[in-house]
Amino acid sequence: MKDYVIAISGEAGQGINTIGDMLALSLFRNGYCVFTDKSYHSRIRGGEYVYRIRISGMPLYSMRQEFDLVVSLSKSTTLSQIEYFHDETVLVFDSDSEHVTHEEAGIPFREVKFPFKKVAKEAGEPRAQNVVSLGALLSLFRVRREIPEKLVREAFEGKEEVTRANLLALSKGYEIALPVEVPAFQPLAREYFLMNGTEGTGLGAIAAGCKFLAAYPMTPGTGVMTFLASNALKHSIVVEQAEDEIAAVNMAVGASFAGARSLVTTSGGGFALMQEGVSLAAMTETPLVIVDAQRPAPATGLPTRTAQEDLHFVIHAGHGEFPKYVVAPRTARDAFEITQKAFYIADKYQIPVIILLSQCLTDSSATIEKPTYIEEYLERAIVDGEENYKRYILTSNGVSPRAIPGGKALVKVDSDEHDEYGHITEDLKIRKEMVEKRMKKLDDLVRELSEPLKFNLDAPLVLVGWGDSWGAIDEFARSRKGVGYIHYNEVFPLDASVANLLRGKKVVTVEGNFTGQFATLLKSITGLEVKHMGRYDGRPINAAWIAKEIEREGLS
Amino acid sequence: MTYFRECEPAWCPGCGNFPLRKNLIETLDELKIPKELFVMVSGIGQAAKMPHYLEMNFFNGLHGRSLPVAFAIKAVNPRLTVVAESGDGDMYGEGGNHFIHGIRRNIDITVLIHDNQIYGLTKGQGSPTTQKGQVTSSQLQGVINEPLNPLALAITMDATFVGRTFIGDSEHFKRIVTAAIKHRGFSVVDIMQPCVTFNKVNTFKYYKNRLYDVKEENPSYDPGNKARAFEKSLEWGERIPMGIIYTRDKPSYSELHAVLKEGVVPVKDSKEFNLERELEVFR
Repeated sequence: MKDYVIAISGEAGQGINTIGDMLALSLFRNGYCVFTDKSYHSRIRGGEYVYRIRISGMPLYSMRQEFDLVVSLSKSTTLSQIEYFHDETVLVFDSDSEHVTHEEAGIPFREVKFPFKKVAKEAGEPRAQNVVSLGALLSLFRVRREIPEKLVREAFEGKEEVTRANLLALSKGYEIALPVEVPAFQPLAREYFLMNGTEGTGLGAIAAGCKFLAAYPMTPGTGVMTFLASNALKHSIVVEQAEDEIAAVNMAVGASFAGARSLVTTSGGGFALMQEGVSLAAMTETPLVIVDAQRPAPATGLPTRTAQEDLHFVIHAGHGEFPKYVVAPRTARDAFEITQKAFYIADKYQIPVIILLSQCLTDSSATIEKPTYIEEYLERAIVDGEENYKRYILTSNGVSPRAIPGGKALVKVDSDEHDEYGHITEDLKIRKEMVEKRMKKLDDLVRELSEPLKFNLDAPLVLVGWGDSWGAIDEFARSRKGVGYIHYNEVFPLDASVANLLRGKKVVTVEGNFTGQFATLLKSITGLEVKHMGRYDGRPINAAWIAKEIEREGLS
Repeated sequence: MTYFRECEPAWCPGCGNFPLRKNLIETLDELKIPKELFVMVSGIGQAAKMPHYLEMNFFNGLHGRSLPVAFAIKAVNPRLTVVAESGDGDMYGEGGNHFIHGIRRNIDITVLIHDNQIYGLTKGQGSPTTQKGQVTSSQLQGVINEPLNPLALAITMDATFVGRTFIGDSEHFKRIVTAAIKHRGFSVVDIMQPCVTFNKVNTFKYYKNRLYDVKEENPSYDPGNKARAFEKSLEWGERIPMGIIYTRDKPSYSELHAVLKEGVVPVKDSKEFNLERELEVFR
């Protein structure tokens, strides 16, 4: 497939995010498909910051490793990215700044110098260097000029002088004819949206009627919290920044007990602190949804990089035994849809539900088709209750009709083992019945699972993936003969019947971890031999990486 | 209507929780809050078993975590009267961070702390309020850490109602706890009570001989005077002050919160979501 990768390479604090967003949005609004990702250090100023944009004629959901064009604002950052250069890579930089030489790079590349700074100064705004280069790039891709003009006006709203200077800078950028050839992409006529995983998850939560969020900030999970905070007034959501993750999870359980659909957002380290709260939700049978946006760990790990390391951790989260449901969306669109289901399942089965995201998914904007709003997922399964109400009445499916305080029934809820009323008990017969009642929910829960995505299962080699690796696996499988895949966005519980599809095949999981966590899971439910390929350097999985690993493992 | 529940509490004979329970039932019955609009949230410990021995809505959660749960219940449904109740180990030890930040939030809930200055359920270890030098089952050479002063801490953080009472004075108990529940904002009541099994220092007699009401001693005592209240809160020895030590009027969390001040959060119904409208910003 025809595509083109632009990288803006610099340091945090140079406005790279702003210019990257404007560039991606302008290309998108012109009808092209874009996929972006960000690679940065955990700091506010300085350090490497690379914003990549992959342009294509059809939607793609992973990055291509090699850069076709690099706008370099920092020599040192660009030097650190040399491994992603190919012979034809174009390096664009300001002619007044000292820059990477071929000797330093050790490889050939094409350099294009242009006086961006000088042009910005001429426009009356020396800081508009980025806007000049934005104009030059957009002109290269024949993006209609009114698109970035609107963005510049919005960015500097209320500052007339600055707006005028930036518009002039943009216009001067458009006049620059960079001596670079780029593919001609056909603008798409279909309805698409540009969304990242943070927005998909946050909007999904709002669509599901989430009315309470408690969180302690932790990268890369913070974005969902701030997304809901910025929508709080519009949708009547109580967003509380807790003193720690333990408070956050207990708050969410309390809000849910009182009747609100509640969400907690965090990353692995914060989720570790929430374990007892997960158990609490399970024991009190209080619906709870937690977002764990994974980072490479253990401990503090790499805050701004990506991984799929928390799968085993979350499916085993909390002490004691109880059912839970774990999802891992593939794309922003999927995040919107599966988040709605997460709230629905939490309510219906009165269990903790965990949404596994990753830095790559939260930060990456992609061109998505219109996501689906599923109204039936708003079903609350809350009853009025009556006098002498039994919160934990034993039922055939393990679910006891849930009332909330403030109605007719007195609602009694206990983290201790309890009787049907919710009162503390040490009656071991009741204990046994309560364990069976809680675990019974799994029977129906498994029937709620959707089929995983399947592709070319006649092939001898079947790759298995989960979460945000779908784009890379799909792209790779479609580029080869003899490769199929199965891809999951609901990762726990799993339906064991998948064994029928995999028997007799070479089965290899592709995962963002060292140990092959999904492979272990798949082995345990199917009894089949499953190999794994793991990426654990903090970078996202992409098709080229899969190809290399397949070759290294002698699987092709 | 009564909050009384026919049951056999699992406390030691002579436990301070028995008179506390009786006082509490009388207080709640006299307050006449409809039972369906009252919720008690407790943690873990002997004190935290209280809601099981009353007839009410309750959430008996985790050790130390009653305050975050109570906060969220009140935020989501302001019609409910919410009381968090637990012991000194639960509220000042395990839940100490939530105590501090609960005060900062000033949500309209009442916190009742059964302060017997010892761990009961786990059999006699020192608690954050155990006195220096006291020998316990885990501090065999005596406690060397300074005790936590809950009233001083609450006043420093500007809790809007800070009181102390005693289980042995039921009229005083009712007066202070009633005032705490009626107070709009975060109310803290440190309740002195003996642990007959594990605390041989702070006995019923110990408290009885030392506790005095600040207002009875000095009718001109002004609980609105923060400096004076702080000074009073430091008093601990031959004489121990009780009563309303500090109180002030301050808007509560829900009155300041941009969403909550507009009204109750529509928790059960949220069909106003319009996908087309929401997607506009992603075009």
